[in-house]
Amino acid sequence: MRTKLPFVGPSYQARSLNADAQRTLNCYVELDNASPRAPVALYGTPGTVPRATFPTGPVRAGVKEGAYTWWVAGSTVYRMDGSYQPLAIGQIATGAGEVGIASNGAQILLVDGVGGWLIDVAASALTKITDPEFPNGVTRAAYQDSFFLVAGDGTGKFYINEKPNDGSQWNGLDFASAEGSPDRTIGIISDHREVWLFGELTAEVWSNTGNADFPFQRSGNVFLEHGCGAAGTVAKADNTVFWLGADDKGAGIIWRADGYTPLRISTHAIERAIAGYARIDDAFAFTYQQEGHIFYVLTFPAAGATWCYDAATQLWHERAWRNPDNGQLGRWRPNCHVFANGEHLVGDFETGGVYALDLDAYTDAGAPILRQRRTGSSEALQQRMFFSSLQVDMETGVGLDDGHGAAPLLMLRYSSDGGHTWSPERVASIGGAGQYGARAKFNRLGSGRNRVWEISMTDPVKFAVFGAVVDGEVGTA
Amino acid sequence: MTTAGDIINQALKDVGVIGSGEAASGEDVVDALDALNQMIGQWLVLPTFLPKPPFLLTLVTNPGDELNLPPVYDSALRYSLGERLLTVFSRPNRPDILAYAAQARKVVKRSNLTIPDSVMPDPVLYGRRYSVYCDEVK
Repeated sequence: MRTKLPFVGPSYQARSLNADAQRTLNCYVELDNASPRAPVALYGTPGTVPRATFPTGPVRAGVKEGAYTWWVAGSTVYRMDGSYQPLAIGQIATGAGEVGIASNGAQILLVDGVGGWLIDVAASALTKITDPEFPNGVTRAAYQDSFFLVAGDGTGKFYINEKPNDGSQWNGLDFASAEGSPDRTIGIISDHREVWLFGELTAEVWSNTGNADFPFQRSGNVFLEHGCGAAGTVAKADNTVFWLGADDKGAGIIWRADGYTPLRISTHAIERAIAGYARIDDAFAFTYQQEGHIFYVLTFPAAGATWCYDAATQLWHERAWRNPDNGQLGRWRPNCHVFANGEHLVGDFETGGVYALDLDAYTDAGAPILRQRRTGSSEALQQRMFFSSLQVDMETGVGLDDGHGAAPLLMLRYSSDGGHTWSPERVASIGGAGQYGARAKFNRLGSGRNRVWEISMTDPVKFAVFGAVVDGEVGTA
Repeated sequence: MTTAGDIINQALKDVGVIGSGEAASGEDVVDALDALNQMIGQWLVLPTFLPKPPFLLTLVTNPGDELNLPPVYDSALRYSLGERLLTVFSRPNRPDILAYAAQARKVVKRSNLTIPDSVMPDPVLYGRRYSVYCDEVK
């Protein structure tokens, strides 16, 4: 009997693989209810195209202001123009770790936990903030209503600059404490002209009241009983704020704010993965939007893992960089994101590389991208099923004219025990350039009661999967 | 020489229990080996299934054991075992396997068939005639 197989879906590896073993690596789901042919499709995540290389790395932060993008790579601050020519404009104290960055239009504030620096955008000049009352230990920066707001110095406080639009002058009395709970304030972000202050256990929302002494005040009774597990994970997108949560009940849930109410967007599978990481306080996130998909990209550096939430589908997938030397998967390389020149520019977490995310590029700066989709278990009332063939419904004839990718292959493995053990790998051609009639078909696929299918591809070609058709019979017991 | 494991793997593939390039699990091999031995056990008491010397049909202890049988036995064993594995693995009927098995067994039986030599009285051999009317050699 020939049936369509539910093939496209998110990453979801349950505590028991028998329950759910799904994995979606370096591809994401797109929904199109208007298409009877492919209401759900799986597309490859963007490749990275080198745009510039700073002499120093890693690329720690970036922002667009004026005609330039401004980057911190290693301890050097760079200005980069529209043709991706970098110009070093100065040094900050530290050469690694996260950098808080915020712009007021004329000045860009950088904080690294050791000090504060200001970029004069018009003069392309970097100066250290020498005001002795600047809270040097802060690690996070935000901007709202002509003020820089900084936090993350190990206290419950946040600080603002003394005079509007001048980040060089700070007054030791211009601070406030998120004191609804005694936890330390670690993260800060401004969204819709409201300041979200994230503590280790709770969060508060403050707004600008126009008070001449200190303009910010807590917004009514807005208080969230879910704090933040990693300051770098606070990011805004899709008209709201996202963060990796922690509170006195536990940690490792990923939230998005629905108004002022945290809405859980992580799944048990992701929470299980996060619970397995040795540390999560080093996690960070950035967001970007490409072709209507708003992605929240969450990386756990120590664990070497990157998870990505697509607000358009509310589904998760994984991203990973495959080391071409040893084939091992690690965290996705992008460390920070700036949208400029019509491109999504990202900085490398190790080197000084700046790349553009391009959905029509199929390598990671030349290195093959491993794309993988592993389905959930399919079963027929636990009767043994016999599979004579599987055809992966995907776009074929996408091979390149020559070189690697001229004869692209799709690899298939399957498991008959829910994902614990796997068959040897098989390959099928998905057609050279223009061979649109090619079929990614595999024959004689054995039998099993809990069948999981896994397809992978490393060829530098377009990856678009719509489903699969399986020929099989259900046994009698 | 073909081993019992070769026959088992081929039969498991024919029935669809394992796919191409896949190795059978230990449990599947044990079940298939039992089925193979039960089948050979039945063949051992049927003279038409016994091969001519020096070949010998015997039960199999390990999947790696080589079968001391002429090549004509290979497909008879493969498809006849496949027939039985349909039951072992709760597989819906496969008429093609049944037909191949029956055909292959026929060929084995034919190959083992020995037509007895005719026995003639000696004098016939020396140019004399045998009369069917009086049952005498003249």
